Amino acid sequence: MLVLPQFQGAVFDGMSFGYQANALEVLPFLVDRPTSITHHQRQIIQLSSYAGCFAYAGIYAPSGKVVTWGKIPVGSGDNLGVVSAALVQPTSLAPGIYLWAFGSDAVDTGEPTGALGDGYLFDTDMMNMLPGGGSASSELSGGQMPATLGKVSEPYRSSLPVVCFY
Amino acid sequence: MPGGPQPVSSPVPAVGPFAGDFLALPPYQGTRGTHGFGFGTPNKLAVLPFTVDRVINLKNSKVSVQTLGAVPGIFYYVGIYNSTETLVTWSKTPCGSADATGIIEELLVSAVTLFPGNYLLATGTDDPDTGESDEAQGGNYDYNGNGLLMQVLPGSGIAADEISGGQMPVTLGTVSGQYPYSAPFVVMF
Repeated sequence: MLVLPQFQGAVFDGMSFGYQANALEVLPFLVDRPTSITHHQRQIIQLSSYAGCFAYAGIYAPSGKVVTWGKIPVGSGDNLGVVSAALVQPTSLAPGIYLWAFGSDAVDTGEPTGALGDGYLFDTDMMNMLPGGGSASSELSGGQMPATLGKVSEPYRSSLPVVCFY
Repeated sequence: MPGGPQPVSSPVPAVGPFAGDFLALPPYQGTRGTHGFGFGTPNKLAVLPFTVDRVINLKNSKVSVQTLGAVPGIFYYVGIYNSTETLVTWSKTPCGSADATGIIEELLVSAVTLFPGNYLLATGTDDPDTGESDEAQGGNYDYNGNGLLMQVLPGSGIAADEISGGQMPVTLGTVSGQYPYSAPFVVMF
């Protein structure tokens, strides 16, 4: 099981995240033991105004190549709570450094939903200090996470959802 | 950068979007915010223990600072000492110019490989006024409330040896007392 982010800040209820539709935020994290994962979950408020939209979470190798990813619907408007979804590819992670990418295809602002009690609020300076972190040049497209992150160089711009991979 | 131990390994080459491993310090998380750090006395070093659980290659450090008072020529110091309290590597970040606001990246004096074990993080400033170099901008862990976390960490405290001549001391000397201040967020990579 992995609980991300590994760097904890103050937790706020009802916090939203994301800054632009289809954009991906990236943060490094450490896996310190062999870890098998098949699902991910997070707590969300589903807003009907985002019908057909998804929140995406993916794991990438340091090279920027995708390892696995999943997406959770955020637009049904009839659900409030913890939502789980299978990862596209069940994966065993060897110990090492990986990159966590998340984003939304919500067409308005990229904010998929308000996060209910699961938002870590960081000053973005802290996130921008982490090597490998930032905003990816590759984006969500066609309901899929990109195969590679592209260049990760733009400043990190958003607060963080809590995501559990298990 | 002057002096310091010699490199013991080559830096990790950049691969793809990510340059390699990293170490985020301090590893003990508390309330975060914008807080001043320092001692009220220049050149003193706060010492915090941490554990390395894997082989880590390091060559850079980052700290987020917000200059206060714009005292030219002052620096914020970050160093790693081994379990015998001997300096392994360090860097210093200018924090006395009006434009030294934000995330500042400095090369470590020596690129270094840390092997699994126990180490000590030492931080301080040579600010002649208050010993508070600046405030960390969103990069600070506040342990100030009651100092309990610092009090229960064996090996933490204030070092007898001090910053001198713009350099961190080769050894920490006796580490004693309680570390009552907040700690900046430092990333080495």
